[in-house]
This record gives sequence, structure tokens and C-alpha cells, in this order.
Amino acid sequence: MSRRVTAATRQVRELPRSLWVCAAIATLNALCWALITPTFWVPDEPAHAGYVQHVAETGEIPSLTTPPRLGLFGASEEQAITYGWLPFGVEGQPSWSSSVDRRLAAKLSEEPPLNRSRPGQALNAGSNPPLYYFLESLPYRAAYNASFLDRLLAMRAFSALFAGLTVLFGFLFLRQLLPGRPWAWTVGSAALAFQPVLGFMSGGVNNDAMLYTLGAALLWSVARAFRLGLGPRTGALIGSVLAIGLLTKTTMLALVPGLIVAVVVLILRAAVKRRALTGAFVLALSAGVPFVVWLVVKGLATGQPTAPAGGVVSSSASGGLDSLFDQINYTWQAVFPRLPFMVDQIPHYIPWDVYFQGFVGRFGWFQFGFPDAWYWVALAIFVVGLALVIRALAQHRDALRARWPEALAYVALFGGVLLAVEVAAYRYHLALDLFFEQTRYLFPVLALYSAFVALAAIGAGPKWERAVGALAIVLAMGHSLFSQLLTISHFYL
Amino acid sequence: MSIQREDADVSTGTSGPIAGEQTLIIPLVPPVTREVPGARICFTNGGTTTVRLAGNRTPARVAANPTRTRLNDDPRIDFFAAERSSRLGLAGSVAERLPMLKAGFLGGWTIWALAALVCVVWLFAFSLIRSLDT
Repeated sequence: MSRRVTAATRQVRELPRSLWVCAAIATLNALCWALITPTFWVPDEPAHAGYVQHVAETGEIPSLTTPPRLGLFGASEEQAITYGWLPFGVEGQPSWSSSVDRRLAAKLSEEPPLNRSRPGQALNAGSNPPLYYFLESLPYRAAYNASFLDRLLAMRAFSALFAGLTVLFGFLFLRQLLPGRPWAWTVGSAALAFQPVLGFMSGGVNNDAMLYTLGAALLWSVARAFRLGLGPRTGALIGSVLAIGLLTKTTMLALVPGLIVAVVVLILRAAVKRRALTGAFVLALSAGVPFVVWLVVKGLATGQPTAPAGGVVSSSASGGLDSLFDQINYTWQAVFPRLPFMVDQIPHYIPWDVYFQGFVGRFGWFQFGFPDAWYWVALAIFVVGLALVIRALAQHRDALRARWPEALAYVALFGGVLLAVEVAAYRYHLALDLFFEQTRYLFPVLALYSAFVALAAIGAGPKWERAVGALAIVLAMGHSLFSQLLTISHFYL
Repeated sequence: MSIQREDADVSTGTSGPIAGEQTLIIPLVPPVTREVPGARICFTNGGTTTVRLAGNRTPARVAANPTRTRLNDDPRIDFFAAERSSRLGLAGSVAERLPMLKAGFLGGWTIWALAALVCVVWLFAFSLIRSLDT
């Protein structure tokens, strides 16, 4: 046992310094976002903070069932008062008032103390698994005697750590994907560390922050299995990551189809089939058992099943599946241009209006972003990057030919997440007549962005690759800084 | 529209006719230059048709609203600055507003702490760029 610990310690020490620097950048950047973003202006933050508060105050999972007595269900007094006093403006710009600030602070600290927990205070986050919230209850308890707003900042600061972990696993993923090119690991991971939506989301209280970490960890563990082969240990690692992810947010299920593709490919390629099959069995067992236990515990504790199928992406998306044809129609239009025989279900082009612009930056409750011209500039940069990626793949086509099953697995992982979002989006659209898609729902596969940037730099060729890599880092720094300035000017000017 | 304090007008404004749906912006005279605690805001419809207050594209009350679909009616009032100032000239306001309705120990220094954090992040990033040559 001690030999294993020593070996693990040595492996950690041998990790490159740039990995830790990239992780530190991501954490500090998310911390900046935690300070910049006004209270409850991260999507669904009131609900997630309510879940944490309930867990930290009672040690129990919040209930979604009918309240035992009317008036004692829903947001806690602290949660509701804070929410009610926040200045949400018509166009999103709050009206700031120092007297409101003082009065809210006084209200939150008045005697007798305000109520801190009620069943149902997790609101629409109530159907989520509890792992993130139990972890977030640590900073909550550490700041237990401070005001609600102090505790909220402590929770945000803790959540910022997940941005660092996401980048750490993104770095490890690149290390497996592009062995022998340490500079490219740095370039891709630095770009990831400065991704503004990652920083913004991780700087708030939302279980998405931990989900992104586990998505990156899953990509790393899959890439590692492609290097080492599927066996009991690699299978156990993938399964454990998947299990932790499933206990964080059921969106992790969206990665399962891609994971199945990866496992099938790994089994078919394995020299010793029995070892690979054992690995697949260990994977299924280590992922499935904790999740099934959670479903049973949740059923017993709250009397509620876990989120309906739409809740794979968000607990808000729970409408029924009306028509399979309409679903296919919607999903097609969400990704590709509408075909002549299709009914127009979506009045905008989701890949551009939502996914691309949202990735470049749309903040608050996915509500404000850059002026339109900036998105066109970003598109131009993306097109150049895409051309460089294609060039890199063409230049290394022998390697790509040898590793196409691995590439297929990554495409399947991305496709699975996209499909899950669109299935949920269709249900949400049916139920509420609103559109559901947001870029952040694709972030479980965010580590692929770091691979995109690293490959783009490689595509510049041996003479220019490091210079282009440096340029990519500078662009990412500017992207992050301008996103923060945009948010400051939106909320505080 | 009038803003009153203790039944006395602090500031008043009049809107011209508006057609269709739009945000109604009413210039106030004199401009309100400081906070008016306990203010009362009064509206009078001087026109001949009924005014309908409606509309809110702010998504925060239910969930994110990616396509800015019009949500439930939720009339509200916002106050805008009377004059345009340079962004740099508003730095003091930003420093004052940034810690508002956040943790109690934050203050005017928060913006400087934020700037210092950004500098540290950039120093880290430049060290990464330098390391690409090695």
C-alpha cells in the first residue's frame, strides 16, 4: 500500500509545472468572476444555493413533495429576502442603492434570526443528485456564523476550485491525446483556463461547475484507456469518474452513449479480449452501483424519483415527448439548416445564435453579450483555427488513420451531449413555449476546446507552431479580460 | 411622473405619446443627483386612452431566457444617469457598486483586489508563454 502511495506521490511530483500554473489561472479567474458577478446573477444560483443551505442546515436532501403545512415550503427566509431585494433591471442593469445595501445587510442579521431551511428550498434544482451540494456545505458551515451573503461568497469561492480542476483534467487529457508535445498541452490548457463562460459559471453556486470537472476527467480517463488499453484498472477509473459525475448531475448520462462507443472500440482493439471485457464489467459496476444506490436512497428519503428524462440536462426540462417525428425535426433544425419539407420550429439558428455566441460569451442568465460585430470577429478567428486544425490533421494523417477509432469516440461523446441537450430542449419548448438551449450545457465536453486550440497551433507547422500557440494564449487572455469588463460595464455602469 | 418625498415634489417629468410596445423613458427635471430615501413615485395618465404597463424581458424571475422571449408582465422602474460620462469617469461608481449586496466584508477596496488578481493571472500566463520556448 505504502509503495503505491509513494508511486502516486512521485507521479504527481513529475507532473509539469505548467499544469499547476494553468489550474491556478483558472481558479483565480473564476474567483474574479465570483467577485464581479452580482449575487444570484449566475443561472439558477438561487436554487442551487438553496439546495446547499438545506443540506448544510439539516443534513438532509431537500424534498420536492407537497409541504406538510402551507407556508413552510419553498425558499428559506434568508434566500427569499435576498432574492426579493436584489435589483433586477428591465434591461438587466440593476439600480444600485447604498441604502438598500445597508438595509438588506441589517435585515439579514436581525434578531430573531431568519429562517434558514425549508423543504423545497432547492426549487428547480431539487431533483439533482446531492454530491456537489454536500461538498459546498463545507464552506457554508465554515462561514456558518456569518451573514447569508458572506456564506454565499464562501460557496462561490469554493466552486471556483472546480474551474482549476477542470483545467487540470483538460491538461491531463491533452497529455494523453498529444504525447510528446508538452508545449501544446500548455497552449490548449491555458486557452481553457481563460474560457470566460467556464470562469463565470464556476464563479457561481451551480453544480455545473463540478460537472465540467468530471466531464474533463472522463475525457482524460478515456484517452488514458486508449493509451494503456482497457483493463480492470482503467475501467475502474472511468467508472469511478462516471459515478461521481452521476452523483453530481444526471447530465453525465449524456456522455454514456459516447462512452459505450469508446468501450466497444477498446474491446475490439484489445489484444487480450478477456482483460478488456473484465475492464468493461468493472467500469459498468463501479459506475452503476453508486448511481443505483443513490436512486434508491433518494426514493426512500424524498418519495420522489430522480429527474425525469428531460432532467438529464436540466431539472427544468421535463415536458413530455409528444411526437418522435417532431422531436427529430426539432433536433435536425437545431443543428443543420431546415429542409424544405420540415415545419419551421425554431425561428433562429441555434448553432450560431446560441452555441457559438454563447461560447464567445453571454453572461448573467444567458442574457447579455458582446456587440454583434465581436461575434463575427470571433467567427473569423474560429475559421482560421478550424483551417489550422484541418491542416494539422492532414499533416498527421498517418497518426489519425491509426487512431480514428479514438477520434470517433470523442465525436460520439460530443454528439451524445448535443443530442441530450436537444431532446431536453424539445420537451422544454413543448411544455413552456420557450427555448432551452444554452452553451453551458455542452461544457461536459469542454476539454475538447483545449484540444482544438492545441491542434490549431500544431497546424501552423514546426516553424510557427509555438508562436501561434503564444498568440492563442494572448487571444484567450484578451477574451477573458474583455468578458469581465463587459460584465462590469453591464452591471455596474 | 413625479418623485415625491414627504408629499413634496423632488423631481417631475412628462412623456410624449408612445406607440406600440417600447420602454418608456421619462426625463426628470431637475435630475435626481442623490439618493431619496422613502421616495414615492406617482404616475398620471394625461392621455385619452388607457395605458397598459407590461412586459419584461429580464429572465431572472423564472429561468434563463436565451432567445429573449417576452415573459410575464412585470412592470418596473429603473433610474438612468442624466448625463453620459466617460467609462473611466464612472470608475468611482463601479468601485462603490461592485461590493453592494455581496459579502459584508467587501468594500471599496474590492475593485483593487480584483485588479491585483487579474495582474497575478496575467503574470502566470506570461510565464506560460515564456515556457513555450523551452
